[in-house]
Amino acid sequence: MLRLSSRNWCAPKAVAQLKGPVRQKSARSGSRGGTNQADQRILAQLYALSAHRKLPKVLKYSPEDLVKHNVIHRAWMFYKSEQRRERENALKVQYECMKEACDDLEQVSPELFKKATTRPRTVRFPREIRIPTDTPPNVPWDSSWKRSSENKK
Amino acid sequence: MRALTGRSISKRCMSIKAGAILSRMPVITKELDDFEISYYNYTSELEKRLMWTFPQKFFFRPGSLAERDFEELQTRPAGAEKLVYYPFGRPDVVEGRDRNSKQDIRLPAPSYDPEDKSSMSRPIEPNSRITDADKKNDLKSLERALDKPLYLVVKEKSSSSWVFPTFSINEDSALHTAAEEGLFTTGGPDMNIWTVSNTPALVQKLSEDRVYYIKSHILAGSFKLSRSSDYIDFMWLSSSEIPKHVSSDLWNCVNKILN
Repeated sequence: MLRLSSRNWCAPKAVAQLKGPVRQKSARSGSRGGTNQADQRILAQLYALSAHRKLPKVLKYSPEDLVKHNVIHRAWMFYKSEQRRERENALKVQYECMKEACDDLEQVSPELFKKATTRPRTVRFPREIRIPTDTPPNVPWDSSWKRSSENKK
Repeated sequence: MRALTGRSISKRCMSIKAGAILSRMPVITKELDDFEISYYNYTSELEKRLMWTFPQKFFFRPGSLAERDFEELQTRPAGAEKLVYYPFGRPDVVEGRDRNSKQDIRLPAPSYDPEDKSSMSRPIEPNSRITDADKKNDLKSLERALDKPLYLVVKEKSSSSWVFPTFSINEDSALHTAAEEGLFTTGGPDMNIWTVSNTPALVQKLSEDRVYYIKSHILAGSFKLSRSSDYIDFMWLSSSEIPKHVSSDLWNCVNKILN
């Protein structure tokens, strides 16, 4: 039993909360089983999607297969890290090229350098750019695009 | 001080030009190499092996026609018999699936009218990754080599050598605006061009002259060479094809910023 200290003894609301769960009759329950047809249907659907009797056996590799699996995994990680390294190097080279061009431009023509390095207030990223997909669209390239008055440069 | 030295150099300089590296970004993903194909195959098979059994009762109500059609296509593995030796492991069949291997599910093909091209049930036919322009090796087409970025190269009228387009700069115009306007005057206005930045990506130093290259992308439209321009021909080339056409000096300079 829960003992109440003298300090909160005279708090009837708190005592009522501490009494524990009270069995209440659900307003929706109509059938004898305690749940109605709609609830039973949802329960059946949840059961159909549950993991019960659907889990595969735990995969047990033999020592040889485990070595093979680890080799494949390590090779893939190495391959990806090589790709990442190449990409970072390419970006570094591109940045160096840009820096060299800017330093040279500053020496050659300060006016052009100022125009080239002032950042525009708003940068518009084009919505027309599409992400590469596995297969091309029905029309691979929109070559009949016309400059209208709306998209004037 | 810097401004003074700058002015003194710019007087000595013969000309400053804005070059344009106009590229068409890849439309399709790059070709997978053999290692990638086999790795993806391995992981997908592993994933299928570790997948839960297909919740058939959720998708096909027991006793319905749909369930019968589905059931006709499935091949159910036989359960383990007593006193039988299984060299590759005893089958452990639960809910019509051998828990030691992946489940092979075959779905009934939906009926569709072959005449109706807009039917939602028609089988998906992906477009070929190799286009007509690839087969004809049409170097002027933007529909070629869809998995690689293509770059615009033009043939000079004076020296008849292949270069990246360069344009002279007017008074009070910036490098990127000169490059953009130059592209529109040589290639016609019907191109949707996005210049990535107004900062030059590369400088080509030719004794006293300077060419600053600006990177931009073509998003739609096509490059149609105008007769009044300084160039007589153009091509869209991938970075592996460029060194066959341009001079080695230019290639060694530009190669660093091409993908």
